[in-house]
Order: sequence, then structure tokens, then C-alpha cells
Amino acid sequence: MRAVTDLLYAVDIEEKDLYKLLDSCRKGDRNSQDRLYRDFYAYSMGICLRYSRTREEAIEILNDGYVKIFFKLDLYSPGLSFKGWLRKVMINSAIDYYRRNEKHYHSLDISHGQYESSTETILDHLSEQEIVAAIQLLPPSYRMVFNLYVIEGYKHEEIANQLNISVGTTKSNLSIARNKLKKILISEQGERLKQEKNG
Amino acid sequence: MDDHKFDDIIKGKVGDYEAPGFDPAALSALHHQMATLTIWPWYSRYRTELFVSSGLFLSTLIILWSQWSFSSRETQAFEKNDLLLKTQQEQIAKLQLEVDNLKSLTPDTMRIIEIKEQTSPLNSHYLQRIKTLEYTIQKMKEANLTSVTVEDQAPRASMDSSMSPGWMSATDADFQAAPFTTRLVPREKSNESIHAQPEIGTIPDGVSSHQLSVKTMRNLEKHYRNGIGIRLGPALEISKGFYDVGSGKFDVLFGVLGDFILSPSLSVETGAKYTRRIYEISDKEALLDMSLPNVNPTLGPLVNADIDSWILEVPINLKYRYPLSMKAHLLAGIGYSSLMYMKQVFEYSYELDSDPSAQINTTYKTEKFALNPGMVNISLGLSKELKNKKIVETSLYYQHGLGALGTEKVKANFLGIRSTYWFTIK
Repeated sequence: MRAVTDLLYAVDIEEKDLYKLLDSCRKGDRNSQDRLYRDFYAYSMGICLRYSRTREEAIEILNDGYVKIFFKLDLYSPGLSFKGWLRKVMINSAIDYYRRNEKHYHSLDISHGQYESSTETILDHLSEQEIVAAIQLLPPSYRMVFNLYVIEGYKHEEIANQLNISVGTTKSNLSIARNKLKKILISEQGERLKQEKNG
Repeated sequence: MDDHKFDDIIKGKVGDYEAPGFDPAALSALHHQMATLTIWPWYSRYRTELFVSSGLFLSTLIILWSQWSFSSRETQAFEKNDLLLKTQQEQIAKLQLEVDNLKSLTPDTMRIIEIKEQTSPLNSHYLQRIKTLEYTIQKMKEANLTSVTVEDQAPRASMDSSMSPGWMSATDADFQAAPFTTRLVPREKSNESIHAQPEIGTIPDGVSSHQLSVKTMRNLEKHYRNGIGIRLGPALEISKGFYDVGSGKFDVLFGVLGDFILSPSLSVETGAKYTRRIYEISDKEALLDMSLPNVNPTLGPLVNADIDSWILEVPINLKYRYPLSMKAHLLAGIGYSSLMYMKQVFEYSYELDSDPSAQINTTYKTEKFALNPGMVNISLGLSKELKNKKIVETSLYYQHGLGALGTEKVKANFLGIRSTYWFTIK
């Protein structure tokens, strides 16, 4: 019981610190902004990496998101989860980035097949980082739909609305993204096994 | 494995994935990005309104103060003049009374009184003589030997026709004693007594000393007809801009103008005016079509541009004046204004997250001195000469742009009202 109380007390302190930090950020204190950036870098970068092809792209999305956070910190309601708000901002930033660069995305790989083989087993053996890397290999439009639907839990109508495409296209893109990802994961696992045998 | 299960596994694995490590270069990039952006305080969007309302408030205060000051000074001057006039009137009334009294006296009496007041030997002799005469008259009265009568209350003597005018004159001996003295001849009546000398400048003169002769007037008229008259004065304008894109606001111009009067009806007006013109473009399509400098599309779609321009205007106008009265003229003018852009500030607002309420603002400033095609001016107004000989001129004017103005190349026309307070130099 005491341990639970201590934990709650610790959480309370952390929240207080966070609110102080956010308050300083709101006032434009550069050091506090840097600290917030560092503290939530790993979490927000994890989101951004899933929506980008490269690390550079992810940093661009990340920084766009943090600019919005620092300028619009007043919109955050202190009672709610800051991480949740941060996540939403990062996703919106990724969507904006996708919209801005949509016309530059020419690669459209429509080759896909069914991979009914032991994907479950493969997933068990792959690390989070490897799966994220596999997601990054998806074409941007598929990657965007896959992330929004599978990870963020958006509905097809919402995705269609956000990306200015039809619901049918989101469904189609999702299906293709899944199959492509499975293919990538299987091939990745194969490569890994080869390396282990050789090693 | 079905899709649902696959999705769940993926979500479970990477849903809360946190990227390992920290990249300081990412933070440096953020610093750089932040440095290019500026945040505007809440009142910045009302800055123009605040500026205009403050200006109007200050102008109103200045006008009220000047009116109060002027009227107060005028009242004091009136009161002073009134007091002076009253004093003068009282003095005039006293003098008039004295003159009337004096008129009722004969000049002889006056001379006698004057002589009585003098103490020279001749006067003493005269006095003695007068006493003798008075005694003689008295005796004659008593003896009824004379026709002397007292006709009025004034102490004067009269004589019958048989008596010579020399009845009051001195004897021969007297003449010898005072060879330059003639008989006591009544002097000419003076309208004024020695006490009735007016103080210089206190009693209004019937004829003004400043009244010009006909010749001078003719010469002056000739001068103004043939020479070039010069007027100089401050000008204040309020105008509204009408732009081919965007909406203009009311701008205030101020400057100094000179009016070179070529003839009673024609004059050339020139000078310099300075203003800050403000207009706003909120049409997204128009913003896309325009070639605005330093727009950054990566920040989001541009939704608003607020453009401030600091302009020096040099007009040259030919004005025709038609007299309505001696002091009022109807004016019509046409001319050309050269525009020099001293500075321009472009404030851009980008939409953030597709949320119209969330915006990022950036600013671009250019201080490149640029000469623009200019404008054609047409004006119509009135001028009125004030009591202090200064002239107030008010006119409605329209300026038609001859080409694209500013860095953003916008076409604009202006409609406004102008007031000038002219000082006559020549």
C-alpha cells in the first residue's frame, strides 16, 4: 500500500514538474523548450520515424511538430495527457508533411501478393526497430494509411478526409500496405536467418 | 494470420515505440527553424486600429485644445478692446461736454481768462484797464447813459454801434509800451480746448492711417497680377486606397506644400507628403497569383498578407480658382504625383494544422528605395481666407494609379480629403 502511495506521489511530482516546464515553455524560455524537446525526443521521434522514409524526414516532421507545440502550447489543457496531445500534434505534423510533399511521391508499387505463411512467428522474432524500419520501406501513401489505421486507430472516413482521398482508396492502400509489409518482414527475417547461419 | 491479428501485433510492437538516442543536430535544426519564425502578441492584429484611433483621439484633443485656446485668447482680446472702447467713449463724452461748454463761451472771455492767468506787466496793465472799463460800464449803467445791457449770463461786454471797435484796446501809450501788441481781436474759435488734446492712439481717427492710396492699390493689384505669389503651408490628408487585390484602409498623409500663384485664377502647387499606406489581402487565390516576396510555403498555406508601405509623394498640380466672394474661392486641380517607396513590411499569416484559428506569422521587410510610376491627381475644393489673413483650403481628391506599385506590383487608386493651411510668403 505504501509502495502505491509512493508511486502516486512520484507521479504527482513529475506532473508538477511537467506543468512547470510547460509553463516556462509557454513563456518562451529557450532552456525549458530544449529540455522538453530532449525529454520527449525518444517518444516523438518514435512516432515520426513510422511516418517517414528516412531519419532526416523524421527530424523534419519532428521539428515541425515542436514548432507547433511551442507556438500553440496554450491549446493544451493541463488536465489531459500531455503525451496524448504531443502524439496528436506529431501525427498532424506528419500528415501536413505528407500533403506538402504528396506531388513529389512518384513511386507507386502495386505489386503485392498474399503472404499467409507464418507471419506471426516472424513478428515474434523481429525487434520494434526492425518493424519500424520495415514500415519506413512502404511507399508514403501506403505507409500513411497503414500508420493511421493500424497504429493510431483512425477510421477510413477520417483518413480519407485528412488525406483528401476516397474511402475506397484508403481501404485499397491499407490492404496493399499490409501485404507489402508482410513481404518485407518475411524477406527481412530470411536475410536475418542467412546472416545468423553465416555468422 | 488474418489482418486483424496482424494489425494488433504490429500495434503492440511499435505503438509506443521510442527511438533510442538523442540527436543534437535535430535540436540545432529546431533552433534554426524557431529563429526564422516570430510570434506576434495578441494586440498586433489590432495594431492598425489602435494606431488610427490613437491618432484620431490625439487630433481631436489638439483641435479641441486649439479651439479652446483660440477662443479664450479671442475673448480676452475682445474684453480688453471693449474696456478700452468704453474708456475712450467716456473720455470722448467728457471732452464733448467740455467742447460744448467752451462753444457756449465767447473767445474774448477765454482770452481774458488766459490773460488774467498770465502775470506779465502788460497783462497787469490790461487787467487794470479791464477793471477801469468795468467800473466805467457800471457807472454808465447807473447813470443810464449807456445802452449796455446784460444779455446773457456770460461775463461779456457789448457796445453800441457808435463805439469804435477799439473800445477794449489799449491807449496810445499802451501801444507804445507794447509795440507788438495789437488790439484784443477775437481769435478764431477753436473746436478744442487745451484740455481737449486727444491722446495719440486712444481716440479713433476718422481716417485710417493705414489706408492705402488708390495709386498704391493699383500698383499692388498690378504686382499680384503680373508677378508670382507664393504661399506655403502644412497639409493633412485622409485617404482610402482601392486596390485591385485586397482591401485598403484609411491612411493619413502629412507634408508641406507650396502654391505658386501665376495669375489671379491659376496656380501651381507642389511639395512633399509622407504617408504609411496599409492594406490587407485575405483572398487565398489572389495570394497564390501574386508575386509576394519571401513567402515560405513550407509553413503552410498563406491565408493573409498585411502590407505596410512608407511612401514619399511629390505632387505637382495646376489649380484653377474661381472667386465665389472676396474671401472664398472654388478650386479645381489636375496634376501628377511621383511616388517614392521608402520602406515596405510584409506580414504573412500561414494556416497551421488546417485550423483557421491557429496561424503562424512571418515578416519580411524591404528598405529598398524605389521610384514608382506615380498617379494622376484630380481635385475639387474650396478655399477661405480667415480673419488673420491665412487661407484654409479643403478639397476632395482622387488619385488614379498609372501602373503597378510597390514590390508586390499592385494597382491602386486613392480617394481622400485634404486640408491645407496657407501662409502667404509673397
